[in-house]
Amino acid sequence: MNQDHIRNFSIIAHIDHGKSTLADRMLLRCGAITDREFHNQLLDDMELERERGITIKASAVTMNYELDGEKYMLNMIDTPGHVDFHYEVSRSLAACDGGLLVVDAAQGVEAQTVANAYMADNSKLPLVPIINKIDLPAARPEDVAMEVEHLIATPAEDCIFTSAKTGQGVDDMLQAIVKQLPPPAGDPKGKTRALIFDSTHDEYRGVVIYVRVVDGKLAIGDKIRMMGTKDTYQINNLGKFTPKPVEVKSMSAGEVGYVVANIRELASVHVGDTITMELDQAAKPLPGYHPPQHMVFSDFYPGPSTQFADMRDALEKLVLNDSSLTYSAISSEALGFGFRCGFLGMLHMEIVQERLEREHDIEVVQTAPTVPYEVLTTDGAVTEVDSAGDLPDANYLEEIREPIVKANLICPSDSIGTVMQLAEDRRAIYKATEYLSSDRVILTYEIPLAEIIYDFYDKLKSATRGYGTMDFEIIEYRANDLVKLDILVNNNKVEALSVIVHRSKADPRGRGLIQRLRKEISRHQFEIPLQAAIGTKVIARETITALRKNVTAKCYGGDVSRKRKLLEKQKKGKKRMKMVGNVEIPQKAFMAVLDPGD
Amino acid sequence: MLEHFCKQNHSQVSRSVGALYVHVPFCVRKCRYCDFYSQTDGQAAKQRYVAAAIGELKLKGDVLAAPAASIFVGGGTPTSLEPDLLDELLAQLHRYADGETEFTVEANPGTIDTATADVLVRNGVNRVSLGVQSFDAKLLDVLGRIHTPQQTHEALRILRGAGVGNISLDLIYGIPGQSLEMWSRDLDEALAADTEHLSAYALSFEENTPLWDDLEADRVSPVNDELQRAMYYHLIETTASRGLEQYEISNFARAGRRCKHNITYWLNKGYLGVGPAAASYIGGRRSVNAPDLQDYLERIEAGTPPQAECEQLVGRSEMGETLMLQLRLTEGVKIASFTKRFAVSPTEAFPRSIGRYLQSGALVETKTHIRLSREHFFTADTVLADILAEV
Ligand SMILES: Nc1nc2c(ncn2[C@@H]2O[C@H](COP(=O)(O)OP(=O)(O)O)[C@@H](O)[C@H]2O)c(=O)[nH]1
Ligand code: SF4
Repeated sequence: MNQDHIRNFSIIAHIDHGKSTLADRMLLRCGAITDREFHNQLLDDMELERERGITIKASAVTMNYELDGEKYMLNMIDTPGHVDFHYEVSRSLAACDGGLLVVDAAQGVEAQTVANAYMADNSKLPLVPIINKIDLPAARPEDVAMEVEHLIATPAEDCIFTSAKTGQGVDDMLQAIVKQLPPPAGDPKGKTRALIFDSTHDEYRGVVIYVRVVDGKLAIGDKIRMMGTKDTYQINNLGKFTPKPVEVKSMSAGEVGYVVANIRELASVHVGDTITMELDQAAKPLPGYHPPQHMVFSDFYPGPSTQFADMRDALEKLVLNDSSLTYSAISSEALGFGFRCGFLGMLHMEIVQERLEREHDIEVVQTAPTVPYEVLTTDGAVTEVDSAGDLPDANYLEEIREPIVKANLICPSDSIGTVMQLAEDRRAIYKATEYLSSDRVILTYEIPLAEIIYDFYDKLKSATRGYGTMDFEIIEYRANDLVKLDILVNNNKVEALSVIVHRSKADPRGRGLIQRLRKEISRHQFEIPLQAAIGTKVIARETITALRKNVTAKCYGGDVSRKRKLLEKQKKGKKRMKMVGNVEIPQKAFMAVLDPGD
Repeated sequence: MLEHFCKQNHSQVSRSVGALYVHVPFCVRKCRYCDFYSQTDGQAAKQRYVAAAIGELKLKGDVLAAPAASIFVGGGTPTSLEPDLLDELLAQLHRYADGETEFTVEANPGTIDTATADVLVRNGVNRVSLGVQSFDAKLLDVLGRIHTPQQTHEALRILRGAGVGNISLDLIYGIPGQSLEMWSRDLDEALAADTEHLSAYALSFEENTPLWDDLEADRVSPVNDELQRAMYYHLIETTASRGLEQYEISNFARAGRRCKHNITYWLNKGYLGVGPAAASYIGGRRSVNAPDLQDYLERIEAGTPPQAECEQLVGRSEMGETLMLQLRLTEGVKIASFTKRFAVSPTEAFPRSIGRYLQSGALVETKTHIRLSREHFFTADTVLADILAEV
């Protein structure tokens, strides 16, 4: 098809503003799905993701649309909706020539609306603003249109008003895609360059790569080369999702579809990489590729009834369809053998942990997630440290640098005071205030990532009666007065409980931490001292008193089964735990480290 | 559980079991702390019960060794049956006993008179386990026992007079309002009775009992763990100094007077249970009869098996239960016997839990045995729960 008749676009929206429903509406209008199918959200797949109501994996759907007697091919490229998947969003956008910015007519502009709009702006992507859910009684489309005007400088009257629920405005939206968004540029006769913007794993076909052909073309049988990883493969299958997969023989510049090339592991394919021809290579890859950025690391250890090898097999299977998860074997004196895992964010971590337990029956005991640090040692070397336990000895430490994010906090203007207080408590540096409207503002801060990964979002929500939203992005690593806080359980230092904290917060953090530990670790047959220390200086201590009585009376009439069941009950719910020396440390105690103690 | 699963192939297990337990589900009045199944009225029910129990025994008796090594009639309060009915029941049981059989009946001091004592002795009963609980009238009130301290002394006199040569006293400590001194006095009074055997248990609060409600409503305050512990170790030391040897966490006996019947449980050997709520362990299969008397009677009278639940123990579950039970004995688990029974030693079978507690000192390994250390008797369940968790 002629490039003029192709449109590649994305729908970007804050979560729950109606992206999926609008997408389904378009599919319905273009005849790609039936009325009945309309009611299923086609673009989300995994069970877990649906439960959590988020779209993690991007994918693309090709629709046929006719306007004024002309046939168009519309490729809708889905973007992940959660902050953890920032980089994936940027790659999805890179595959588009324009986007629909969907904003809930009742909620108005929110943090991810802003983040995504900025991202689109950075890649010079034209946006058509869509004000959705106008059927809601609480809808205030004109106000929201003004907010959008503030945000992307599109005149409010150019907004398209829709209701994905009733279908109102969907035709206007489709027309705007054709009329207002540009067709793909790119050189159909040039050397082949195709952008990988997503990939999934399919049991039968192996890795399925989603590509946008920018220059040249791809055809079945082509020998291709990944410009980033330098791996080569042969294409054995090409196609598009309509949303059912439909095979094609070739795809030329401007088109979007999938490539199957006998690739077994998802980890071999990098989102953002460029595909070219093995024999006729392009000179330069498409811009913007970088490997996934891990925001948090956590050590996963097998629980009492799980074997290390089973855990390894399960992780191996998980990375087949989650390329952003990394893991490497580690061993700790206290906890034995396990895996250091890298995640895009906390939600990603929770999903992986749940999938290990649910899909692979693996009992995970995990250490509290930590952000990655950079460490400068006295010999001038800079290394990345993903666990407080890996910090070099204080004598060799020149400085510890922590990741700093630029965060946009959007909140009602009447909660500016509380939000600012919250930010300051988390060592944030104020950057800017920008009014979206008379009663909504964007506060921009630079905040250490470590201060916001755990409960910051919840705190923001409660400080703003639920209206606050945020988005953030790592901008740099910055040296700070950071110290390692050690925890001693029964006089043994437990590295897995160590944490890197700012010196000014070490005391309350240490105190809070061991108070939580005291609650989470159950009483043993002996007394357990708990201490928090910086170096050799103990800053807080607590004691878990010894268990003095735990014995049952005789079993009357020999009812042994009943007695056994009573004893088994004592252990219930304590499966996820690790022995450290003679002390049982339950999963919850490891997580106590996260509590900022404020 | 399906009923056919509860049916036992009797030919395989005939005469294999040395111990018989008979549960008598009647009491004069419910004690305030008690959650065992027992009923407080109904002469008609008692008659039906005795007939049913005898019927069940006839049905299953061929698994019993003849003569049985031990017979234990418990409850409930067996001596709350009228002498005639008690006589009828015991006479049937007597047929499985000979002079060597340890034949125990549990008795409440408030139910012992000369007529009852005669019935016991006439039917070969040679051991009485007397539910004394305390010699303090106030504490007996807290417990809601039917008897007075005087009745206990009277009962002892009657039993001895009737010729019962082997008497065990049951005591309870950790009763709300009880101090260490009070416990010490109770214990002294029990020891002064010069019985052959003593069992002492810490009071436990069970749901659905009046005492539990008192606790919930703050009408009584529990004795704290530290004091209970002090009471326990006082018990161990005092009994030892008075020639009663501790052989199980809560049991003490003069030489040769350990309770054979209970040792069967602790060695995880087989036994037959008869009566509502009675448990059996035959050929590796555990079963428990329907706990409700009415339900039990109807089943027996209709000729259907009275078992409500059963499970077949195999492999590690059987090992786990064996350890759970044997470790309650002061001598602990005999390594050679365990290894012979399961073809693997306890430490090989449960390296994580047993290893952990050998290291901490809660368990002690000698050349022949693995046992709990004395300091850990009072937290034994912590160790046992971990062993079971490794099954
Ligand atoms: N009333 C109304 N509800 C809508 C509309 N669009 C979506 N919704 C509802 O809003 C919720 C979120 O929609 P969804 O499409 O899943 O949002 P996404 O998270 O952006 O994909 C769902 O309950 C939808 O049914 C609309 O136009 N009107
Ligand atoms: S006499 Fe024994 S079985 Fe009966 S109610 Fe009292 S404690 Fe319970």
